[in-house]
Amino acid sequence: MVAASPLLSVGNLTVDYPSRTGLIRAVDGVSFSISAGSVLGVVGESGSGKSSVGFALMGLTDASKAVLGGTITFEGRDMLTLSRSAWRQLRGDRIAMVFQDAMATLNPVMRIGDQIGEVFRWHRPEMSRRAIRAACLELLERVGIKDAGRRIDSYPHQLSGGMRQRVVIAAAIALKPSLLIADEPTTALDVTVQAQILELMQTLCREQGTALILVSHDLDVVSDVCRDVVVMKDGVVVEAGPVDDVLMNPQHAYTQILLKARPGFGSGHMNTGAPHG
Amino acid sequence: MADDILLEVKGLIRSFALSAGFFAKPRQLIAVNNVNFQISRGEAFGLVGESGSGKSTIGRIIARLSQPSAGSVTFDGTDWLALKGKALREKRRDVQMIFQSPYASLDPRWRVRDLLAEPLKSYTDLTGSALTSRAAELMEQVGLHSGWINRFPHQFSGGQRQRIAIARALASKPKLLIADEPVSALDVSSQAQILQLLRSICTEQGLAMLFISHDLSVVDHLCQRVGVLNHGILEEVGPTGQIFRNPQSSYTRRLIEAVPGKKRRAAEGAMHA
Repeated sequence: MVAASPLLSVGNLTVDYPSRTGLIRAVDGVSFSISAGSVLGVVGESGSGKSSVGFALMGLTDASKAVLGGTITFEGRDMLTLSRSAWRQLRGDRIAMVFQDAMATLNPVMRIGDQIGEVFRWHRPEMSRRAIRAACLELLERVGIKDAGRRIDSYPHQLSGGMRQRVVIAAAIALKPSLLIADEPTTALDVTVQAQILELMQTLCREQGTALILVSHDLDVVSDVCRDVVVMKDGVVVEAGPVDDVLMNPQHAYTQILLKARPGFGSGHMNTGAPHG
Repeated sequence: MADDILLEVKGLIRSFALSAGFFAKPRQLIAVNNVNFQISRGEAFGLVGESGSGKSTIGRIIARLSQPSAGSVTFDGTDWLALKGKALREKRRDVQMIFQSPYASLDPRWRVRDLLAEPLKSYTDLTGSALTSRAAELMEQVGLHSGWINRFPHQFSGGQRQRIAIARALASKPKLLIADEPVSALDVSSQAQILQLLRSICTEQGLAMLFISHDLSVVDHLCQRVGVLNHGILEEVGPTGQIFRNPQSSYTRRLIEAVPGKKRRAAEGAMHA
């Protein structure tokens, strides 16, 4: 990472969740940084702490009463000392997030145009209703929703899973954030739709210079999209570096296990034509 | 060669009536549209397709959990769909199913010994200590400690639970295993172990498997032959290597194109070259 001061740097981050028997450490001293406009993958299995890192970066750990330690510096600001109202200003504007389940993210009784519009109403109160609707329409077109003029008044249940995730992405990129965090954004989708959504996120981020953190259990997805990768296990970063190095020459035993666990497409019967065994 | 065929599916159709409103005439959804394929004894056959392609519906019809609208299924020389009552109960042992989520398929109030004893009671005349020792044997077959037999499902991890579900499916010594997305609910590292287990069990016991999955990489590794389903239509069927290396239908090509891991495949290709 060459950039003099990265967009985001995380230093020795710890996240502890309270439980009846005391604190449980979900993230144990994680450090990484991401420069403006670049793409970083965070890979790990369930319980590795990868989502907790995402929540900490979004300032969403209040509800679970998590205790944070270490440092998070974003655009030169110390994020761990930020007040709630400062977080509210930042979230959705400079940092945005896309979650796995678009149906759970969207409000089922609100038209999708109004949901995207909410971002503008909250962060850009000076915008007129008309300007907001025009901006929403443009966003829907940008995320590849056909017939956007009609779809803008649809409810989430009237859209397919892939279209819903496009709507969520539209809301996330509405204010051209400098950082987008996507937590398993395609896990609930079919393979062909997954490929389209990943392509879309990459293109949008490239166009508007947004940095992307892709949190996923799928090393294959991460390797296609990201330049750098962080591999997590039990709350600790076990390996980090450029994707090519990590894939070609994994240093840590756990990364090797992960790679072996998902033998690449084309290395089975397709390659050998051999029967079982 | 014909003797080798365990399962033959011919002209299978399954349609559902979709309500289009109270007074409107219901529309027809054809979930499975004239599907034909065969599975040989001991063969692992993969059925791939996206959600809504009809792959699970086919699995459920073969497991006799659902009735087709038309078509025939011949299993082990018998007209499989004509079986009823006692004859069906007796023959069901030959076809066993493993479901996607071992969190849903194992009754949380039953101990593992009871989960395993249930099929043993139905299909064998084992009782008492013989029953328990057979259950313990099944546990060891799937790589679990036989001493864990008195535990409840919640005391196991997802991967271990799926092993229990496999042990239960093996209890009746079936000839065909139907696995419907058996690893989709599991973590990546337990996925590999479960696939390895399925593969070695099928090889050792000469068991045939219908493996239903949306994951082309997994099917590539596990199955000798594969069928590609798109909106109920079997687009193509044949040896896995042939279909994936040289796809004839544009849908198969699109599916292959969408498989993640292009960069890694290129990297591995460069390493082997």
